Amino acid sequence: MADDDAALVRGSLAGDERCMRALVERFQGMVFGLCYRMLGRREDAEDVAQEVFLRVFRSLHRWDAGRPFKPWLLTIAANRCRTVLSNRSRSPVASEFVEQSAVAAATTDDDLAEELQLAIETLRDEYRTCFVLFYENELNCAQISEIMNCPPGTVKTWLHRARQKLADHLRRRGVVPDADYQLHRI
Amino acid sequence: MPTINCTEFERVLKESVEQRVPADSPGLREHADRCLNCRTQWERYAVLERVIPLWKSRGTEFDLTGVVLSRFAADLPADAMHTSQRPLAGDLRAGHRVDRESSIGVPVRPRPSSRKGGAAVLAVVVVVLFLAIRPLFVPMQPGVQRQPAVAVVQPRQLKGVTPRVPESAGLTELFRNAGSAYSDLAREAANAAGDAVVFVPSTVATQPESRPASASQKGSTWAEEWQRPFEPIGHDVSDAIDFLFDKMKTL
Repeated sequence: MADDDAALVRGSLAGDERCMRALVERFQGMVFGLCYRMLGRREDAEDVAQEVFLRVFRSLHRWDAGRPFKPWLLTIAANRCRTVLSNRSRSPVASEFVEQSAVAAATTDDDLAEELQLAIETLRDEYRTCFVLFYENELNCAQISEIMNCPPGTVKTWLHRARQKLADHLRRRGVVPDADYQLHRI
Repeated sequence: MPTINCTEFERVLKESVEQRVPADSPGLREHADRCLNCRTQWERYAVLERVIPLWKSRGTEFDLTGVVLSRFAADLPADAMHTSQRPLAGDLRAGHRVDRESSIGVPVRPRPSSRKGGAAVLAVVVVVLFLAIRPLFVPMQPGVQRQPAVAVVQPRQLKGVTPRVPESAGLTELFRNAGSAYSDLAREAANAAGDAVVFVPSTVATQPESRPASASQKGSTWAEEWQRPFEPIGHDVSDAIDFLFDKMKTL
């Protein structure tokens, strides 16, 4: 797969539009998923994902062919998302509204997923990025540490703190799905 | 039955998260039954393990291909639009940047190409300024005549008009001395003439013969006596004027 990535990049650099199209098709789900999980708004995620690919194409000549392409791409995407979040934080905070709103009855799977997404949006940027990269993009702590440019131990700490805060948030919101440790007895 | 303590329980739970393996073992269950804090932790873990798959299953399918490629093509220069691949490749290799205002309202960083262009312009400006001010800092070496920074334009010669003399230190000093001498002589002459008018007897003024006679007129009486003191003055003034005109001719 890594060789395929390098071949697609080389083809894109050579001007082969099919390679560029294949590159986007291969990674768009990953990039859009990251943006969507990070930003929480589909419209923002679409715009940022497009921006990420445009930036990637403009910067392909700077990619080190000796290193895997996927972390490099995710680094750009994560940084773009964090920039958007940073800019968004200067405007009225949506998470406060979420905290103050009435507890919704999360009865369906969609409700539970929505509650978790709202909870994620209340996390610090580092926790959020770490959590999304770990669960959405299924990277391990070492890979996340490279993307976020921090030690793996820090990533582990952030990951567990993110999980703890998310669980506390869901509990405060009254979201208690039918799953507790008793289920593991089965 | 194996038993674990709280520290071991927490470590196992974290490792199960990091390694994506289910946290389920007789030891964990046995400890959770006895420890309320660890049971709470496990419940948190279980809640997230239940919700995260639901959260991940939410659709994130979105086809960006057409939009991205069209936007990238739209960002290309107009003269590159009629061909499909080569200009695109050239722009990619050159790191073509086309950061127009982002559609998402996110501030766009300066493009690398713009930064390079700005640096090039700055470098040119610095070089031009350096060349402009360099002569001010180059020490003058004795015996070496520096070429003027700008061409010296010769004044156009006009008929009947005395040409202006280009200034130089020597000529300025020479003219100043000559001018001072001429001024002094003129002042002395004026004083002498004034004194002469004062001391002319009133009877002389009424006589026609009171007009000064030339030196060649022999036998003239008192008029020659009055004229004689003025002769050196007139001689020196004419010498000074002649000196000035001679110098101007040699320029």
